Amino acid sequence: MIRYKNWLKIVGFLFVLPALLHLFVFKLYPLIEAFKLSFFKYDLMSPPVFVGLLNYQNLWDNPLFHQSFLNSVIYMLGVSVPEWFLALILALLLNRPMLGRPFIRLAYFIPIAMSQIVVAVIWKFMYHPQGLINTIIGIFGIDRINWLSSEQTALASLIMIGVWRGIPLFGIIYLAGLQSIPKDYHEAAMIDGANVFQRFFYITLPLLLPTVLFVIVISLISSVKVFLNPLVITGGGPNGSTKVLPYFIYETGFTYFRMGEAAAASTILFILIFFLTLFFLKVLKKGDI
Amino acid sequence: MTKNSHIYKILFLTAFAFNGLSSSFGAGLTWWEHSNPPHNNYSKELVNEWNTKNPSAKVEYEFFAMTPYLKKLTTALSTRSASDVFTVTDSVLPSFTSKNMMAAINPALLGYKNLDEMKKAYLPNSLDGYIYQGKLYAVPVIATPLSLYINRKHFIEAGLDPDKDYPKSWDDIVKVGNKLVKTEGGKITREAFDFPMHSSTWTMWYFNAMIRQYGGEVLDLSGKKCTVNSDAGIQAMKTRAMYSQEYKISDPTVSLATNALPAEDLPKGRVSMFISHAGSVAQFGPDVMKDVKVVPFPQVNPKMQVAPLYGFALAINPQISQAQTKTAHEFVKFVIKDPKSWYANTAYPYPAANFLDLPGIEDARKNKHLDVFLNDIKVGKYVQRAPQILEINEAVHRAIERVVLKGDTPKSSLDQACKEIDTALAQQ
Repeated sequence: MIRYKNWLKIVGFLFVLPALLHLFVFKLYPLIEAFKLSFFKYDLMSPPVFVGLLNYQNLWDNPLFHQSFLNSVIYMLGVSVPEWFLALILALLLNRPMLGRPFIRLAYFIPIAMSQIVVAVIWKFMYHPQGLINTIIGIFGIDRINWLSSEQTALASLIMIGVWRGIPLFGIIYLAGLQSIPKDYHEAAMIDGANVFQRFFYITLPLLLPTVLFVIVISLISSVKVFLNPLVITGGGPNGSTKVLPYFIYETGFTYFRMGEAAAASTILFILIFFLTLFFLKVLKKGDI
Repeated sequence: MTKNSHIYKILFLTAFAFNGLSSSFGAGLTWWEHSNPPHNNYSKELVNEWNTKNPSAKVEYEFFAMTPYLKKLTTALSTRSASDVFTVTDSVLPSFTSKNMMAAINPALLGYKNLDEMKKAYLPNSLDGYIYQGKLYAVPVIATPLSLYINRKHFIEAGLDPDKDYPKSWDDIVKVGNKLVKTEGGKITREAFDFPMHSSTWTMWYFNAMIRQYGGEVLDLSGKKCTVNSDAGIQAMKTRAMYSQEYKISDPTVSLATNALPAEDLPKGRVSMFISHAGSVAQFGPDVMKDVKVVPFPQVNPKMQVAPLYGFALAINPQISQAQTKTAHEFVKFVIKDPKSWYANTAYPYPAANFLDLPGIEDARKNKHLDVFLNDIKVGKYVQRAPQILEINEAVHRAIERVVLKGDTPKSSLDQACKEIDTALAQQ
């Protein structure tokens, strides 16, 4: 006879079983297969051939891989760091009573609701040498900027799109965090004579820290995985200056049909994301958050 | 009647029905293509016509967006789940043929004595892109060169006669370009001329032709060593870059940023001369085309003409049965039966030798610049063959970007491209 406690465990397990199956079949298994494939030469047309670490060696020797890796790191930091601060400022502003607050909150959420491909195409039009942005800056006497056709500005142009799209999402997350802070604390501090900055640094920020760390981890992970904007807007150019790691993986695997090398690059991207997440989880644990 | 005899009858009828079904599956065909609306509509029409005439060998037709199509086709061929007939672009040779992913076409089943006789029925060079080790692997349905589109209005405004003064050589572009370009405060507001910059495949189409005009090639004869940094390559790169760097009649940043239709800058009046394929006549439409003239692809030496050429063709799956292969040949023959309809429906010329003499083609010759396209096809050459062609395209495209956008020297940029290409070739 199964005891009630054990029976509960079995039922509990059955409830999570579909999610576990999904995790194993669609996440873990492909991950293991991709790792396995990284030791094979495979072009989709001929049977896979075991080559040991050759794919990793090829990546090491390929300057485009190094460039893509560096671009990914620059993009990740370029998008994430402004997002952490600007999204927080946005959330703090939206958390204050103001006329038409629900409408303003909705308006800020629109970039997330829009299709990513539509956003990419619109930005491409705006960045055109004779497009909207150059027309506007021209009014102020600023010279035309070749946003997408210069190695100096192309990645920065993509970073600006990433920041524009990410701020509302993380702003909403911050806002939820801010609204969970009891108002009593602020009221008590105000009675004690604390000013706005003191209230922010001694009440809001410490209580918002779990949300801040969540935003940091998620923004880093989502920005290092960027793919669609470089694909649609710049095609990785000019001269590979916007080729990020996911784009490199896509091109190597599905354009050049070097699946093994693409799998090796995927493994490296996975390791990057894994250690980044691990680092921030450690920080979370250390701070007892 | 006994109970058993009923059972036998049912079993017999079931077996008969399944037998009929399986044989109809056996004789039927599937056909996959890339997405191109006018092309797909005409293909569907042809399939309907074929299915009405051949109810025992029906064709099932499907098409897919261009980029995923090649991936789907490659994966399906490797897992033996591809369609029986499929449309390919010329650049899949030799990657597909060297791995036995396309069946050799039997000219006899298409009504020709042999390949040599079949070649005579097509424009010179137009079958070359589909021949590998002496065998034909696909039958073209469309072929197009890249030619030069010029804005007649801009020419007239600049005091030029578009019918006489149009550029015949790369140097001529500079001569007329100086009159066509418009600048404001040192910035170009209307380019005189530009190359498409949106895709490495397009880059290779015209740049390979330019290198050939200077007597060179991208790879050596063995196809295993990069020669794009030869004197011919450097000359071609200097020509490619001189309009923006030396003469300031072109601004590559405009073309680079214009997507998805690369030639869009021409109807929008941002450029006076632009290189594009035959399909642009239909894409621009009659309203735009009344102010546009198409002239031959510019040359270095009129006595050694070379124009870019590419196309799409029908191939047969080598994994299907002999009977199906025979039906597939009959279907291919049926699809290409009417070159004029292909042109009328897709706006891309059909590379038949007698194409310009076909009855009813006169209007297109008069109004749609068909003679120009056909003449460019005659001197056209497909991009040089290599299994790593896409990587080579990318390396050459980056080399051009370094020169025209960054100001690198042609030699150093092409040396770097060769390093990248040789690395790709070594990984074969």
